[in-house]
Amino acid sequence: MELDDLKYIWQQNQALSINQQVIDNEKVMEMTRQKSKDVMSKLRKNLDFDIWVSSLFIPPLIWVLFQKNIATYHKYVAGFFIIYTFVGVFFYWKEFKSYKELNLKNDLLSMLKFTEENFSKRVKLLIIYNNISILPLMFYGSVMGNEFINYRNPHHETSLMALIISTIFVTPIGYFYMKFIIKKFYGEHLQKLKKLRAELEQN
Amino acid sequence: MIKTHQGILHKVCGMYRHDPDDKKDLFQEIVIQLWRAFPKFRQESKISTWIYQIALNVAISDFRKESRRPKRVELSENLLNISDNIYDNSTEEQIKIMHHAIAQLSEIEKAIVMLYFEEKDNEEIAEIVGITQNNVRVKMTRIREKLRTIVSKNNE
Repeated sequence: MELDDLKYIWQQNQALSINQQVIDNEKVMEMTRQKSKDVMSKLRKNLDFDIWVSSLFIPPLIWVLFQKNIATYHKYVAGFFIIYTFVGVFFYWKEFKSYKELNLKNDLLSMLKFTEENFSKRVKLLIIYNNISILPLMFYGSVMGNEFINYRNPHHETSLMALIISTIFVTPIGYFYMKFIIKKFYGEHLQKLKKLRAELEQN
Repeated sequence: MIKTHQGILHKVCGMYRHDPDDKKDLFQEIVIQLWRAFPKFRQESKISTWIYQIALNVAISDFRKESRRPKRVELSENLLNISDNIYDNSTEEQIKIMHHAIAQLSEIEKAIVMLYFEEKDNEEIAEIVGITQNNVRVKMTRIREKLRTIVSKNNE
């Protein structure tokens, strides 16, 4: 059986089946009112979620800044995370809002190029954004762990070196966990986009 | 416009999705994207070309996994003994052979072969897919070979 035989079967089949699938105007209008679930929209939703969750921490962090009976290093950490969140929100609005939708009006190759470039740009920014927070977050975690030990055992003393060592130990765990999450959510999409583009560009 | 050209949407959905619910989801997504993109339609190309472009872009960029395992075409004993003259078989069997063969093509090849089945010439296929006409010819030759191999394997 040759390609033209398949073409004949296709045309026969379509002629039979399409007459059975008629959708009226009302149904079409109802569909247009639904929200899109394309790849870019999903990525944007995830980023929206990240930003909103980060923003929720701002009021308690500001509260920490203005407390008199709190150790100074807590205030430094709070200050760092307030700045970090604001920088994140700023870049989010500046960079991402202009690419909030999938660009479908061009040909397939252009759409794939556009989506791949934007997708990798967003993923890179997301990785950088997450990586910036890992080291201070892990160090702060070590300090808080130490505070807890001190609370249970007031005679216990921890050197700065011990805190640094514990930070060095836990930071890779946080780093690889975040990398795993990002790869799980976005890596497969990116690989598929690259593969499709390569296939189209191959001569 | 969508109502008039809904045949294109059904064809694209049928090509890229097997499960009826997945087909509906893809159909809806294409309708949403056509609705969004329509104000930017410049009428530089035919409306059907533009609809194919959007529909294929949506279908190919939609990476949601199918909700159920794709219903693979079961190869019955009759199907495995296809005679050289395919038109002696029933229409249903021919359609099964066609779906089985198409299912083994890549997403890109599916798009190109569908446009070919729809009587689009190389120029229009090149416009929709975004490659040169020469590249379309090369890909068509490969698809032709691939489909011939798939069908002949089933015949053995």
